[in-house]
Amino acid sequence: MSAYPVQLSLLVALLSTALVAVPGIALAVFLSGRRGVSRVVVDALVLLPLVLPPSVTGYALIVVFGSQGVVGSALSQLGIRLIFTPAAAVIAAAVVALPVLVKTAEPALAAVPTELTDVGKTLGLGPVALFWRVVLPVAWPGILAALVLAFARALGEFGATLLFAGNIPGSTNTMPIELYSAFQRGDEKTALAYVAILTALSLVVVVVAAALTRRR
Amino acid sequence: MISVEVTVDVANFRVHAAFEHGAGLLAMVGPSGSGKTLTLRAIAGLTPATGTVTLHGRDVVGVAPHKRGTAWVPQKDALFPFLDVLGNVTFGLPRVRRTLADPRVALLCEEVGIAHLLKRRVVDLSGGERQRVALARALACEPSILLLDEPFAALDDASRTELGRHLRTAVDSRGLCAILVSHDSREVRRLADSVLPFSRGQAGQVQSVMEWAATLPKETS
Repeated sequence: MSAYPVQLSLLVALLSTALVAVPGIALAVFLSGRRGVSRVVVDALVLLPLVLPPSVTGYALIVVFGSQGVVGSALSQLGIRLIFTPAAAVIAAAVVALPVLVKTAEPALAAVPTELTDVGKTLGLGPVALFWRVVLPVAWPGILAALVLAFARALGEFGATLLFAGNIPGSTNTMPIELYSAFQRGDEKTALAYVAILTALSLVVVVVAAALTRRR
Repeated sequence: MISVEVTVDVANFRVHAAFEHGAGLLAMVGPSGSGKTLTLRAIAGLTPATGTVTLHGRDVVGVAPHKRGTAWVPQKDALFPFLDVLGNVTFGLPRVRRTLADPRVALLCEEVGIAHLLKRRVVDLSGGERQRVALARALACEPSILLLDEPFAALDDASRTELGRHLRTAVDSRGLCAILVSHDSREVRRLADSVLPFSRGQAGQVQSVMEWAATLPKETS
């Protein structure tokens, strides 16, 4: 059993969580304070990667970022190729982690008492200062829990990664992919080792997220 | 000086209020759902309204709440839980003034009777102490108008009396223009200079406390 899939998985999960942190929190802020058609549309788009089969998400990523894709063809002119690289694994993990982040952070943001935001507004805070000085300090444990759960989702990503990043040993073989490969070739010992590591990490994540949510 | 002529429309309910008020404490009174709080929120800019709200000669309808120079004391639960008492009192001040070294901050904390609480966490305060901190926080910004939305509602009698005394002193010593929403006729008679009665979304005329008290049924007057 090689250490590379473990290192790669942790790095991919970390980078993809970092990638979606700012846009994810921004989307959660948008959704927490919005009603009407714009909310329904944005909500549906955010939720899509959560409900679509991961293989469909992976295929969609190939369509967008593949060498013939809208973004991929532009990038290839700059000499950048994403498909079948570790960067593709990061993008695939980010896309599936985003809805988990947004939908977990949204209730934490919506639960910030309007009494506090009202006072903040009358004490001279504009929308940006209000977010930094009132909303974020109150909702922070919930947002942190959302980031932890997004990390867990990114860590476990399989289907979209397999299609978009492939299964290239020493390059894109994350833990879930390596687990699948080990199972395919009948290497039960290795498969079980990955099962144990992924289960242990997921358990830690669930406990941390629960502790953070309880602190609220 | 405040001059108001506003209409607020919220979910099939319309509130209309037209009045003027100078220095002193104006009490908005009336049954629940008569439009007092909505009118107060419209003055602060927290609820959209049409019409005019002139604060010291400046029309602020359409101006964002944070640019109106009003201060807001809500009913309860409005201290920032992640800050200590001093952090709450100085929340609206520029960063350099968020310290006891600022003489105005120190004086204000003495005045409102919270000088001994400044390092305490707000969750450890009693209801009365919390509302005095909320009052100090509002006064610290030296607002052009002080808006209080039933600040006494969740307090026991002793805390009401004490907060009322601090409020009255603050209004008198600063010549402040203040508007208080209240349900309690005893409180209004004890504290207010004038009264604006509300009924079914319509504000009446500003009256003296004596005139208003004479209209009350005997058992409540």
